[in-house]
Amino acid sequence: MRATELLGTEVVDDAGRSLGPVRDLRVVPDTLEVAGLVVGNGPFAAIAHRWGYAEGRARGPWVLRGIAAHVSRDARFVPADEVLDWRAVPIRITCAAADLPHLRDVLAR
Amino acid sequence: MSEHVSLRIALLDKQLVDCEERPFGRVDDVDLELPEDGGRPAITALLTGQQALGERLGGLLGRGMVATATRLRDGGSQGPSRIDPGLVRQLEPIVVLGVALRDLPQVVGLERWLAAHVVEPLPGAGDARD
Repeated sequence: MRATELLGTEVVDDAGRSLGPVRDLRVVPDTLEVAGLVVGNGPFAAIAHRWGYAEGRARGPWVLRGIAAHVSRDARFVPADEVLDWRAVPIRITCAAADLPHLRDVLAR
Repeated sequence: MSEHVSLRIALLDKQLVDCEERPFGRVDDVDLELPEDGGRPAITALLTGQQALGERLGGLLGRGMVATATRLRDGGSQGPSRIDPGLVRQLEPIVVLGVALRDLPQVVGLERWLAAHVVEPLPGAGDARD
């Protein structure tokens, strides 16, 4: 399967609640394994992730950085081990949304 | 610092450079092997070239790119150009491979021709990190 086919696929938690589409995949640099998914809702979240603002990687006007930080504040990291079925649409995970760490906390570790 | 990196930022659309610092394409997509019974998917190939990009874009433009790539390809190879992820020596800021382009027969002729006649003569192409 192509990685870009996963991007944008809807993800639901164990109760069937939508967590939003897959915004990004997190990759372990040494092994090139997929460590997990980044999910998040919001109309501008896609741009924030695509351009690197959600990661705090992109430089640019403070206005854009502020907006991007705001729209991606609810982005969560789904560890690969929590994914029940990668091929299903929507992708199902084994835990509740509230149990998933925020992306910003994962990046700060 | 997180122990993992963003696929969008570290891999997708990143410049590919061989061990002689010759830029020859971009990572247009990534092939994944999905586990049947949970666990971590593994990257099985970096895909580069017009066909991979066309398949990713889809639509009329994508189909046109795939058709052109198929027509220009030499008879032996099928599908997009695949690069073994084990050849990746460095991920960021660009994707550096541990082998020379001449040792990558799976990178099809069009990319090879573009690297030599279009990419390499571009101003600044000598140092892809810039």
